[in-house]
Amino acid sequence: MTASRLATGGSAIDRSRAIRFSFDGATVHGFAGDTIASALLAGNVAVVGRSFKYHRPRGIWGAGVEEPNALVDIGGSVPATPNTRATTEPARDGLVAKSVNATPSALADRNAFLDRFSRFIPAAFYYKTFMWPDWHMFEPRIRAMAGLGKVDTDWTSPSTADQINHHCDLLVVGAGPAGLAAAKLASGAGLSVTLVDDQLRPGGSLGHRTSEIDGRPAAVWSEETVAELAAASHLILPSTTAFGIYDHNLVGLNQRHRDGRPDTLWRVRPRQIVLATGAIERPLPFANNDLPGIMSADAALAYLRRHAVLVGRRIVVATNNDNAYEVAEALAEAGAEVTLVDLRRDGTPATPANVRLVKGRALASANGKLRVEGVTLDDGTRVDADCVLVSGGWTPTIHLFGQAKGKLAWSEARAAFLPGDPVDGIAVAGAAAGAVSLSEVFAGAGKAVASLGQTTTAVPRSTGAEATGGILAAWPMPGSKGRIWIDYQNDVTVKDVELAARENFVSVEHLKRYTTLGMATDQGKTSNLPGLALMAGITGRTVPEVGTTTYRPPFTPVPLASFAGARVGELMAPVRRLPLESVHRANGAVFQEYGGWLRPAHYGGGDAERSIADEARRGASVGRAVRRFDSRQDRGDRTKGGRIRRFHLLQHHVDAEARPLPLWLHAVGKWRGLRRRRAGAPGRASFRRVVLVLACHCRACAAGGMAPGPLRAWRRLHPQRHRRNGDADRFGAERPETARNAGSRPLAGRCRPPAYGGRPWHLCRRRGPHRPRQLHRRQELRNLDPG
Amino acid sequence: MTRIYSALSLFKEGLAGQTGWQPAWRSPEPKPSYDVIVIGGGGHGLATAYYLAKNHNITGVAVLEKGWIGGGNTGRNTTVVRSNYYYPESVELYSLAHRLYEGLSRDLNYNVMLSQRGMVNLCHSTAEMEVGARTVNAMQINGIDAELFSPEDVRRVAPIYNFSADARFPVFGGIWQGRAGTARHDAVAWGYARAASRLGVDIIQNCEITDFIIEGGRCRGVQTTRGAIRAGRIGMAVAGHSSVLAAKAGFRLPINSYALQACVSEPVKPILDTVVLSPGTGVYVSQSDKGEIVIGGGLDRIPSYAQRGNLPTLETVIAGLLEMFPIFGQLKLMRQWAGIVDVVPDSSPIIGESPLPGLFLNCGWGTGGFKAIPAGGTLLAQLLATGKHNDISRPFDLDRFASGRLIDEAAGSGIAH
Amino acid sequence: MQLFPCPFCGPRDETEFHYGGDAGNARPDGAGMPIDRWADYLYLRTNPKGTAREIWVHMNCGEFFVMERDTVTHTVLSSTALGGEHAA
Repeated sequence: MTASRLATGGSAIDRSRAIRFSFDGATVHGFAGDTIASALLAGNVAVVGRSFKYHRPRGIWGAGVEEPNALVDIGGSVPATPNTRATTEPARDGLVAKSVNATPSALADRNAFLDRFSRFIPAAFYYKTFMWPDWHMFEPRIRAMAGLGKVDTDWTSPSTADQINHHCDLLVVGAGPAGLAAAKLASGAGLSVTLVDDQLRPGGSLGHRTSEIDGRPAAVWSEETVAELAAASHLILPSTTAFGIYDHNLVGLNQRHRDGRPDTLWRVRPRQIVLATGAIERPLPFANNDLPGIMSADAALAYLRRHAVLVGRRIVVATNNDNAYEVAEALAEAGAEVTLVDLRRDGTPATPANVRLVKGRALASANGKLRVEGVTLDDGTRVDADCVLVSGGWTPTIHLFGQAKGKLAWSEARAAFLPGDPVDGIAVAGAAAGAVSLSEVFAGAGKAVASLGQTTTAVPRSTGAEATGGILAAWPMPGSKGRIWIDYQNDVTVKDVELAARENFVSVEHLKRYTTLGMATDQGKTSNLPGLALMAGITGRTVPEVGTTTYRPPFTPVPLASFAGARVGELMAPVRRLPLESVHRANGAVFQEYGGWLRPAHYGGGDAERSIADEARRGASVGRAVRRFDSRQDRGDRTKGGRIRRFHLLQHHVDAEARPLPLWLHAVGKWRGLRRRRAGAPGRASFRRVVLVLACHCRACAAGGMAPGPLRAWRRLHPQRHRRNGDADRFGAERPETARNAGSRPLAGRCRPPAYGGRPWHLCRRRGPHRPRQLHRRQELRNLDPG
Repeated sequence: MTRIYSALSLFKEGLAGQTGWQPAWRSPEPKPSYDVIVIGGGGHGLATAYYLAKNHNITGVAVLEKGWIGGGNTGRNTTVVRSNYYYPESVELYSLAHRLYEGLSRDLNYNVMLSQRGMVNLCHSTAEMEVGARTVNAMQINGIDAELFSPEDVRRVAPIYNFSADARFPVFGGIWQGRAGTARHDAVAWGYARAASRLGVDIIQNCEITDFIIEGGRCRGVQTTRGAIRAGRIGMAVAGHSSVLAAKAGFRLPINSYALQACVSEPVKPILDTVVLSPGTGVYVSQSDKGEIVIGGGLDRIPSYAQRGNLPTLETVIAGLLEMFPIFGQLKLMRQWAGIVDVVPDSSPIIGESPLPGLFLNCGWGTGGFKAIPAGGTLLAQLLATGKHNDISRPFDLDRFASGRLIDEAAGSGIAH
Repeated sequence: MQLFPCPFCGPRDETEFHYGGDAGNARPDGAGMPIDRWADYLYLRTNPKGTAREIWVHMNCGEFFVMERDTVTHTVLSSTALGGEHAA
């Protein structure tokens, strides 16, 4: 493949703003408006990663969210994100991209040897071996091989993600021809419209397919329509994916930003939803159909028209449908030598100019090692090529419809599942509903919004050439020669599906789980339908009899941070705070949570145990005011753990003159057996008077699940009871009475470590390996014996 | 045809193009009658069939599954295997399961990938640490390999946890069980299915129960979408739908059905080596051998039979996860799903004969049925074979709700529901 | 996110509501009630798959009400204040 940037053209790029980023250590040049993938293609980078299991080289397949291959870890000038799709991520200056699952680089991966042993490690091989002597002996190695991208352990969150609740009359998902038309019509009916599209620029296929709407080129029409909608104050969100439809038609959107901000989560509650989500091009089955340089035909056209990237010089376009003809023509016009191989013998459109057309032939295999070098047709003809484009037909994007529990209907004419019975509040329009020509698309869009009210806007008309939907289904066939790949990322071949069928994993959900078909990060957007069509072929059923797996959110992976939003720290789980917290903190308190309350655990940093012990000692000699009441101060008793534990006292130092000790507190202090600090303990010189803050053991606090806390806080909590009864009485009357406080944890949360058997918990801990002898009590197993 | 799974057979089949493997289980047409019918082709149902054949030599067994085997909660859970329970009855039950799990791969000749990477239940305050110490003592007395972990120990097993000074849920230690870990959930169902099928058990998929055949006040068989099937004894292990079948049999159960959600991130290289549960956030998390971060949380708060995820619970769970592991903020959610679980007032399972004689129950596992599959199977098999309880299953009989001898594990082990 | 219609406040997010058990699970009357009947009342549930009649409380306004809804499709069929008035 010798891809290159053309000297002119490219509707999405701004040639005046050159950018530079790195991929696997090499510098890549691009322009503003490029995606990482388009810049890599322009730089003729073919191998962008390695597959999950066999570490086969991976090239760029598509130009959108369906991409199974081109995953990169990004970092540098942007927040680190593993497993980013290169086809949707804008290229930015200073970005550092690294191929996934490849060491040291995608081109020279040291685990590439695995592919040579692939015959011994087919789908689900791990269930059949590694049992002797034990799975634990093998697991670490296998585990180390797993996973794609790498987590950056030094990562810190740039900021919290925004979350927005939004209401509108109509939510249109997809801003291609169907979505734009639906939005325009709804706008004419006076509805508030929200239009979302997952591409950087709205327009969908209008951005790269040639057509004419209302007498104007399609690209112009789409820009005008977007401008019109924006002028009418409708919300238009590009780079935004509707990832899920939840209960009662709540739609989740994930909006990506280009300025490094975290993505925004939108929860949209529309009255009506129009799904204009388009369709995804499928691969064709032939041996080695996963080589770098083999791409989706539609993607090649998108790269040509949007980014001015010509994906090859000698191109083979393989197809079973009409849509690839426009691609072949455009590439030939751009200067490539194009061979178009159509599976169909007749019923094909007119041969495009400067294109060699081979009818009634399919590709048997692709040749090459690290990138495609040519193809062999099923009659044995070899054709040299540096790029192979394939178009195996279109799979309507009905994931959201499926999530909303919509039933699907198989269409033989389209060789795809289409939306079946309607779901309340959801209409499907455009290619997602199986429409091919723009006229069909617009008619569908008109119908989708007709129920919402009378519109003053005319339904757009297609005035140019219309696309046709001729297709001859080309599913992977059982018994095919060579390695025909179905799931590119997870390395699932036709043989793996056959193996699953042989072993009775014929249910589509079993097939998925047994072979991991469609379980990769692309969730089978290109692979599911070929896989289940193959299973249908093997088991002699029809495709609808095999059925699809359940569609689950999210449609594309959504950052976890979006779901969390601002719920970080205390906003995730609020704590109740003391009125005196700042005073405690000023005195060096270390806080802990006690039953939802944040309270001082001890004072002074460093070792907690030591601080607590020191503090207890200090508590025993709290200054002149208290000492006056300590009758035993001259006995020289040493403070002992058992005694200290009895203190229901927390202390904090305040200015002596400002707050004289209340009388009752002196009394309590005496009753509690306060003692003088041991001679020689630190802090004597700077001694200040101390206010003792007593623990609150009142029933209300105990019943409310609150740990005992300082009286001052309690006073604020129960002012009237406090006043009525008086402090001393209250304290006397409200000694802990509940079993919880008096029993197992009498002093939970006070200034001492909890202890077991008279020792703090950290000394009670038992360490070392577990003792299997004690655990495998044989007599227990004996009474399970049948006899 | 290759029957035995081993490295050698895999090698031989590799040379032969993997064409000699037998079906993992047979799919025969249902016979009109069996010795025993097990309703439900999940882990518990398949394990019951296997142990009936293995322990009790009863091979006239049919497993009837409405959809495809392992498609219910067996294929939807977060695959944690542990036995760190509080009450002696529970410990007996889950220890039995844990021990059987440890030998399961070789017993079934199917690698269920039991990965004993340990599990830590975190303690976020000195008060929780106190409770933790008591729990550990109780577990050790009951013979569980529980240990009390210091913050340094937690840091050793989960270095990427949020240990910063301002963490909302700081670590004061944790309760560690070294033998805990994860297993490959689908493999457990398929392994039991394969082993049971080879012992003569009929596994019948796409066979929904429409009614029970009741004669003389006793359950004599079932009406299904594939015809009437009669049997001497009938077992039922249909987590999530226990109440539905009970209604067909004419009785009610102390069960409410709730959705429990789980989700996985995109696969990344190994970063988290153990299972971590935080009672503060109510989130438990592990990393699968495929590299995905597997995330579970609390139940949805609304009784439901809809097996799909929703947004509010997911948001809470993810917020909790990021509080525990802030660096996961760079990851993306790949797939979200839900299973319907039987929630019982005391959070302990129900094993025993139902009010309809001849019909035996295995239900009410709540959010923790996967870890108990071998025990649930063993005990229900013994009930079906002998009509009598094993000592381990007796406390879990349905009669505990009338007698008041509840085993309140929700309070005991601090599990998340 | 489901929307539940509170008979007093109109449609609100599910997170504002709390489940209060089966509607019509009446407390048995009298001291001589057999223990089985008490166990039935305390523990046994219909737990229907499909239409369910349940007591709910809207925690924002504090009002209890009866809601009929489908536990599979999550369609809300009706919600009525306990006294029968204020149907929404």
